[in-house]
Amino acid sequence: MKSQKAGIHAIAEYLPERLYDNAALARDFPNLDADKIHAKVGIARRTIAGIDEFASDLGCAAAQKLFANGACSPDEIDYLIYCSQAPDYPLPTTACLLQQRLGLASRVGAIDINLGCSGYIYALGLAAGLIESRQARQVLVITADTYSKFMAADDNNVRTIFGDGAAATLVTTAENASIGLLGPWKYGTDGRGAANLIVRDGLRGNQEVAPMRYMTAGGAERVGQPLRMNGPEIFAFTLRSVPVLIDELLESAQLSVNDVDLFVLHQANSTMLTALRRKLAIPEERFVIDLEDQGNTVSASIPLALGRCVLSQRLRPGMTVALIGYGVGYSWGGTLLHVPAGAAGHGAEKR
Amino acid sequence: MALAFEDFAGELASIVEEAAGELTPERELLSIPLWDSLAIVTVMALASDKYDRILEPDRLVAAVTIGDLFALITNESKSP
Repeated sequence: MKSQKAGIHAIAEYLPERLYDNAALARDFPNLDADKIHAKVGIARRTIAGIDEFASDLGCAAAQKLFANGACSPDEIDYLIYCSQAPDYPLPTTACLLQQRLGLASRVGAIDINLGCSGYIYALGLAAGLIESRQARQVLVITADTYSKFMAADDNNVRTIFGDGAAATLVTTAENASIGLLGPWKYGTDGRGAANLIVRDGLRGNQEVAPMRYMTAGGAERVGQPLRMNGPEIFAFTLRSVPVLIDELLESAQLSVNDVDLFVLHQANSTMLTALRRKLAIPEERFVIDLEDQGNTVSASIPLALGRCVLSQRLRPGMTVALIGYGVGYSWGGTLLHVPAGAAGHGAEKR
Repeated sequence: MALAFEDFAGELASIVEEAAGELTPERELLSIPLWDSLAIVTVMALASDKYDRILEPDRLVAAVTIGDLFALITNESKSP
């Protein structure tokens, strides 16, 4: 049986309405200066889910927008991949709940994957594999995260960076992939970095460290352990792994950095992105930084940035685009998006 | 090209929002109010960008004085 190529047909985004801007950050942490925070991390405001609003709600809204935009109808979906680190329950699988909420057919496959900032690449890779092996023709990929649910309100280290958000991406067969074809793929994992970005909750975590009562960044009281981030370790990991990943990815495609028209990396913060851009000697005009109005939205950050490039026509026919994720795990991955000549595509309609 | 301490102090001054003249080699990093995780990451970005160094976080966190920090940047092995 002959395999077939897979690609992206449409992207839609959904961001919660609540905002946490730099003025509010400076009020909560008086040693911080609102203007200087903006200059340092490139973020003016973070989108924060409401107390009764969960990652699956954001993901559901993004998918509904994708359907409303005419990308396809719910009954045309063959498979749902839901990527999040904020599941509704330990079990059942959130994707099963979303099948029902989105009105997808009962013949669909539905799975959750638990990855953060690299998650979009892994979800796309799984979707492409399903399509290339002819197990599915239309795969709905939802990436949604709400780190605010387990960030401690008094931890400026993480509150400066992270926002909540979701994106829905329709991955289809080559003939319908109006935004672009996907591949090749490169992945990487190093569990030695696990403790550097962690919520030490759950069965093992609760045995290792006693749960505590704390106020979350989202404004709810929670019992458990908050998100802990060792920023310098994450930064060093990124500087070491991402340039190697990009080298390997381009080598496998027999391309050089100069052959790539646009780089869309996980939108961590502008300090990290700028350091990577300079290390890789990529000109500013070929490197996307888009996190000012929502912050680092974890697994949603790449499709948010990519969808906006489609809408703004920064993504143009014939382009080769590098999509690169990296972070919690440690986990990293990359792929290329080849925009067809004469492509239009469905971009990320905002909110 | 050798990195002069004065040049480094000038870069550090803009990161921790203090006058360069206040940032002497003997001064302890913990006496700088804005020497926090974000400042450390920004120094790492500076070392990568301008001096092609990847600073090891555990050694960075172990630095006591500004002089220690300067020595790290000038002695740390080059990026792979």
